Amino acid sequence: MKRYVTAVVAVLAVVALIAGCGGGEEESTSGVVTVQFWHAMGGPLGDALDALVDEFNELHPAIDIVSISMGRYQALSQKIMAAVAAGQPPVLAQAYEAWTGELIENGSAVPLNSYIEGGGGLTLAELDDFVPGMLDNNSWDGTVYSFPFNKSVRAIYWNKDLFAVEGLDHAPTNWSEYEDFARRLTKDTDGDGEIDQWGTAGQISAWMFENLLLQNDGQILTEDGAAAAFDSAEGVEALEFMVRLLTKWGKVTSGYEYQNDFQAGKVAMIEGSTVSLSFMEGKYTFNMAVAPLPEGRGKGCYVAGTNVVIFAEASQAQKDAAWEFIKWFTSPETSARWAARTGYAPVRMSAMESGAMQARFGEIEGLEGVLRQLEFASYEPRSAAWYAGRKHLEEMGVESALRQRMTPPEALAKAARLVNAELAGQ
Amino acid sequence: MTWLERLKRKKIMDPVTAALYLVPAGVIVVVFRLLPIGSAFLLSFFDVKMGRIRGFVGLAQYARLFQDPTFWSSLGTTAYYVVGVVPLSLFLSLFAAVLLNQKIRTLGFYRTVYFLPVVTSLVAVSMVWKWIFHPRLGLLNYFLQFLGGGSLQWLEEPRGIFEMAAAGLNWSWWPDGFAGPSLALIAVIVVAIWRGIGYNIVIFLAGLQNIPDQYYEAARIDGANPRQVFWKVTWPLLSPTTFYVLLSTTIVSFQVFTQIYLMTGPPVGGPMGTTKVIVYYLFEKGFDAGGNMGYASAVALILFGIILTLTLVQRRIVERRVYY
Repeated sequence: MKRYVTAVVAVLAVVALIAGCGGGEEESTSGVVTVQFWHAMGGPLGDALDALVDEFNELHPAIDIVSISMGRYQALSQKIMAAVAAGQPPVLAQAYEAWTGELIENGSAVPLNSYIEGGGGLTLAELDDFVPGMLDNNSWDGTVYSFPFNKSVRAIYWNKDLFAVEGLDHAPTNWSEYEDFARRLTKDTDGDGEIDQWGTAGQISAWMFENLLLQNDGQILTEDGAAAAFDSAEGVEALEFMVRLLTKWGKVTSGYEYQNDFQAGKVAMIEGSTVSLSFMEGKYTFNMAVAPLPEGRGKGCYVAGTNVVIFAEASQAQKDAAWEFIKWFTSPETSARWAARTGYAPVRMSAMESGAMQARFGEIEGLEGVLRQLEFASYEPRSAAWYAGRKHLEEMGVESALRQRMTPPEALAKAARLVNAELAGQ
Repeated sequence: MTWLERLKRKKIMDPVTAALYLVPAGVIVVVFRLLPIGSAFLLSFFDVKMGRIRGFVGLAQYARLFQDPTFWSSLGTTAYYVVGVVPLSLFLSLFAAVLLNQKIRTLGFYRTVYFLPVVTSLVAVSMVWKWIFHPRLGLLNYFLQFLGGGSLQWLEEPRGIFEMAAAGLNWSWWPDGFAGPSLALIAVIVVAIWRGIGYNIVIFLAGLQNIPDQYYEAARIDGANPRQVFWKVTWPLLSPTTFYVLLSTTIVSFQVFTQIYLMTGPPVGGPMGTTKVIVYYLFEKGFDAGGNMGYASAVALILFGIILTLTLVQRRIVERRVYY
């Protein structure tokens, strides 16, 4: 008898397990529309986002946005792709343009034009108020599929006190000043034969190289997007400059350690995303200012960060609620507060004039100039092939040159070969 | 007499009972092993994105795979990893097992200590070791400096160890392509050995205790010294166990993923892609944005083929020396 019972229990357990795998739709009965929002905001950024989500939920009693952090962007992408494959995506998610492109191809991204043009939409004036280029970068064949969400640009962070010791009163405005200042700020302060103050520091970053490439009139890919173009003479020159800067007058650190060194006053200036502001807040004691990236042959700046998409699998009520959230989040007022608290760029130009941003500009010297880079900003290629290829540029092109394992021309040629293999495959 | 006992008496229940007992394991094996393997085989001939099949492509994905330099370098990295882990893990665990097979008083304590890494979560283990290897704040560099050595970059060092050794000996030239596995990969290998050793020890201990005492007695009466006892009695009689450990360690090593995913990078597989093993390559291709499950399935099947071939080769070559 006992054995029989055990067997039955075992079978029941298996049945329960299988039934459990099926999962269930969350049906709300109270008339509140629940919107799952997957994102990759953590730390201070996650806190800022959660605070805004709470505020939105309070303003909209019929909508419940559930903010779920997936940790890193890579994890977010993997979870979105797996959820779409399983037919159970969230309602709303952060997405890079390359992901959105894949989602559109799969029929999983909701076109937003009808929302924009519809009753609860946006006026032409409001559309014009979006940062130039940002909506275009969220459109595919004239259809808007996503909205800019957390966008950032790069900036120079400089320690005014250390600059003042060298008689310098401004951040570098062009490449030659950049290198010259970094050289002058690299010193052995206690005379023990070892350098203990570096001009600059940075991490292995494709983004930094891409910006230098753009400032040097180079291109990431060819016009048709079919082949790598970063291995041009302009690219080699940009990478040579980057290597010189970060290995002669600076140092390459792993992860965000260069930021800690800057906060500790061991490095005079660093390049970083505007978002770094929210991670550095209150962790330095010197006079700090930010400045736009130095000019090369011209100005140039690539915008980074993600957008938000609504998934086609959601119910109509959920889609409507998600649009309501997007509209509220990208309004000049919310955008300004989000930007002021996190360091992300506002997505609306009028947000720059808002009280929240003006107050922030008063706190961080030079921030307005940094964010004005948006007026001429560029965007990276959006194809999934480039999204994969970018890793090769970072690992082979930038990393092997910065670690001085290869010369810049060799490194870029190798990265270009790998990127071209990626582009040819898709 | 209940109906159940009556049924049992008639021997009708026996196959039914057996089947019932097999159901839980059977369902799991079929649902989570056999079906996925079968579908991976089929999917490798299709263009699959986000769970949707977008067309039959035949062998095109295999063709593309063989032209991808990253595929070949990840295979090379995996080979380094397997060669680094398997022999050393086998040797160390056998050595420890023989020691633990002695009759000493603190035996239980030592057996627990060696087994601890096995039952500790691999995620926790990886995070702790990542910190130990940290170039600036890590314990390992602290000891190196304490002992008067310089610090090493460990998980951030893309240079091959042979090349580093040559540089250490002040040889100005070292042939390209003979740099060896990167120090970062060696760091991962060290953790893998440390972590896997306990499990192998338990298997070896079971094998050692299966060897009847009479053989040892006979050997001693014949005047064999400890070395002879080991090579003439223990080693041959332990060979089925050793063979099993060899096979299982090799297979598990080919499939390494978690340590790589947690310990290396960012980006994972770094520095300079020197720790990107084949399973991580597969994962990247299948699950990253625009991931192609078909392509990833093709990688999985190649890996399956490699492991199968190697296992068959091991059977042919090694099994001849196994005494059952």
